[in-house]
Amino acid sequence: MADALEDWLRQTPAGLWCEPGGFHIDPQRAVPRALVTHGHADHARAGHGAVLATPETLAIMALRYPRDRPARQPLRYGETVRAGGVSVRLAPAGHVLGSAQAVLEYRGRRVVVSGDYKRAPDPTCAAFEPVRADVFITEATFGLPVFRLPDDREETARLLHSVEAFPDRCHVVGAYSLGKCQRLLGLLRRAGYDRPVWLHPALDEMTALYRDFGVELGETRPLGGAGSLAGEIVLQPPGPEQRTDGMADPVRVFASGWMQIRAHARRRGVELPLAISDHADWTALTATIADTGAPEIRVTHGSPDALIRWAQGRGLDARPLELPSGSGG
Amino acid sequence: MRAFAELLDRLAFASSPATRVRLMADYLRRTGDPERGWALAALGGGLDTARVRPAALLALAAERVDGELLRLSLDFVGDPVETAALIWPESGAASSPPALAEALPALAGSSRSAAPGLLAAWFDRSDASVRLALAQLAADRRPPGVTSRLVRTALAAVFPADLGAIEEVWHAQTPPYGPLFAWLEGRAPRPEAPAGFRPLMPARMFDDKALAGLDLSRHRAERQWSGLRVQIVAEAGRYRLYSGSGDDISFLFPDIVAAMEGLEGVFDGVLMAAAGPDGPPCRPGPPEALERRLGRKSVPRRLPAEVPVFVRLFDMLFDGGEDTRAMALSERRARLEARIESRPRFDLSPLLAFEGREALDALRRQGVSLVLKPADGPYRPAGPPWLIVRAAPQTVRALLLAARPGGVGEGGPSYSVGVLRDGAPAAVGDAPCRLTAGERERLDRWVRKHMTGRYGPVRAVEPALVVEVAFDDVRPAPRRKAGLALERPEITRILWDLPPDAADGLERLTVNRTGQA
Repeated sequence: MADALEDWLRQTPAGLWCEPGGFHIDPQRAVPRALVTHGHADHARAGHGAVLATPETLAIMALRYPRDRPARQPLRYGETVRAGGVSVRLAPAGHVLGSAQAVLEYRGRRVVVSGDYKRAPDPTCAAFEPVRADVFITEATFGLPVFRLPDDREETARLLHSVEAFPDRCHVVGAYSLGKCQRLLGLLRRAGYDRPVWLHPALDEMTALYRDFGVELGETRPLGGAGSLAGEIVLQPPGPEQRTDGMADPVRVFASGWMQIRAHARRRGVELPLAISDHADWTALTATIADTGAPEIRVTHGSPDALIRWAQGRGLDARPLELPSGSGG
Repeated sequence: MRAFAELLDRLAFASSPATRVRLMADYLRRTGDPERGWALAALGGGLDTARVRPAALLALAAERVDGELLRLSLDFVGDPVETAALIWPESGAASSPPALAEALPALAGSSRSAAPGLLAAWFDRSDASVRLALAQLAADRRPPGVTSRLVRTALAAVFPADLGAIEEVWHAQTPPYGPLFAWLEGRAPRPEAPAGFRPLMPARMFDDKALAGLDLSRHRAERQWSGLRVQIVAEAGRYRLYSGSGDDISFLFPDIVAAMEGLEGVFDGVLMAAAGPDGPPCRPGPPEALERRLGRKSVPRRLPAEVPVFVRLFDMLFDGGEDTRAMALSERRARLEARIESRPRFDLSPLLAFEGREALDALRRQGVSLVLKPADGPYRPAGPPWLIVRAAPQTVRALLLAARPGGVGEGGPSYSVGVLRDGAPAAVGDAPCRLTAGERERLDRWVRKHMTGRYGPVRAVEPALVVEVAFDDVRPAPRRKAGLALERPEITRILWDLPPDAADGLERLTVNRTGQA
């Protein structure tokens, strides 16, 4: 019988700690050595001594933390490195550009840490790759059966229909700067929308970085003294940075998995909620647990209770893995 | 059905009536018969469907999913109707949702016990957005802010007919409104509409400055009554009562319809709660009593006797079969007086005699809000409106008694205020406040600090803060300890430095200085 999981991989105040490998995974505070699954701020912090991540994630971190100077160790999808007695590989997670699952092997046992992931096809990042595992540590941002998100092509069509029905108004879409913004651009292009899309300055740099990695996003234009923008689509970060001055009767749109629930959409004060998420929905979470074939499941982030209940109902050893909270939609 | 589900979804988040109209118009342009007609019925409330209660919807879901998963989901979502629609298991097979034209008539024709079974079968064929739409239809929930009038406004935006013309034929039509659409599209003549609604003369607020430029000698004045604007239609033995927005509310007021027997014509007036069953002359009762008669699906047998009502008429659109709308107000009024004479449950809004601006202002200082109408003006809804002149506000020093936060779409918070009766505070109204943001914040802090109890969202406070409350009038309120209530109260100032006993006593407020008959 192999070692128990907790003998070599366990939760600590700094984050998930791999003892024989001597590194933390997505640590919440500065540590000597970190494996970072993707570039969102709640997973990628500044101040580590050394960071192991995909080249894309390292580039995103360098953009976000220009004064941070860790030792950067790029690891491409599929390549393997050894750390102590642990072999480490990164597999695509389909969440945002560069996002990865950490595949760890030690003394014949394989643990897969999902990081944030989704299964829906995304034209702006590599598709999730299911990996067989002995233990699967999964996120559960949308770990409730009410979260079965519609096809993102339908949601995109809803936005385009609204632009057509309200040609005299400007559509202002709230989207996070890393991932959601570029995915929306990709979805709009895939739907055949070829007009320029207007970008808030806060979204510029990350979008340029995506382009540097060869992601096609079509023409974008910087927002700023652009006039009424009637009939146009503007992407803006959610929250107080949003600008609508001078815009023609803006239609407030927000793209997030939370928009599936009306009370959340209402709290956001949006007129057109789009249920588009970069996280796995309930269908994808349960399908992925089955795909890994893992008999042991650890659940973290979001709503673990329902997913644990579901997995236990299928005879799996499922338990919560407490992590410091916080994750994007 | 998908397009209708999307429309419902957009309407749920639409921010203005204009946007709602555009969304409905967009749907109507893209939808054919009979689907669009059933959509009108669903939106405009032209159909009485068997209501499936939220608990029954949850029970349907509980038969299909793990109880614990359902409980966790309900905790998160909050709304049982939405939870049931979202959590419903999906087969993965291509969905083939029912058309609205299938679902809505079936719901309308089904019994309360059969409706859940229908719903379950449709849910199995539908995706989440359609399930949510079906669940809302079955729960008899209409999108917020969508009225029957707004639905007709959308029709007028799509087709080359004006709202008035549509309203005149609307009530003779039934879902799915085939002949109505045929007429609107020019394929058929205008449908017959016996005893239909006629567009009403609008009235709008008029301020002091505009009043100075008005030739008062050419105007008639009436008191503005608290009640529901109605239209009485009695034509060829058909008796109808319409709300001011054109909804047929005859079924809510069988007592009024019965009193119309033998009447012939179309009349404009205000429906009011009565102080007693007799009249004329009719005596108004407490305006809030009318609420009990409104917003119902059916009328309990004893309700008309418990909450008697009457109609105070002030205009006539048709005298017998004769259209009087082009006549001058003075002539219409003379005919109205001759026509109504003495009829139970009906009386006339008296004309107020006044000589010039000063007399008018004296009336306003007595708490009377007025409606001014040009004596020679025709009854023309598209023409210049009647003018509402609000009573001069009066003020009272009152004690703050409780705070109630503003709900969704209700605007800001309101505050219960009271005056002193035998040295103890007695509530006289719920007032919003007209204060600066800073002042309001200071008031919020004060409320938090002096809270004495919570009743749901309402926070009761120590009766220690004196506020100045402006109001239009005082009316009797037998259910209140004070015996009276302020009309349109509003907090205009907070008198931070005054002690609680500086609040006014009840004796400063007197009811009905002009006497409502």
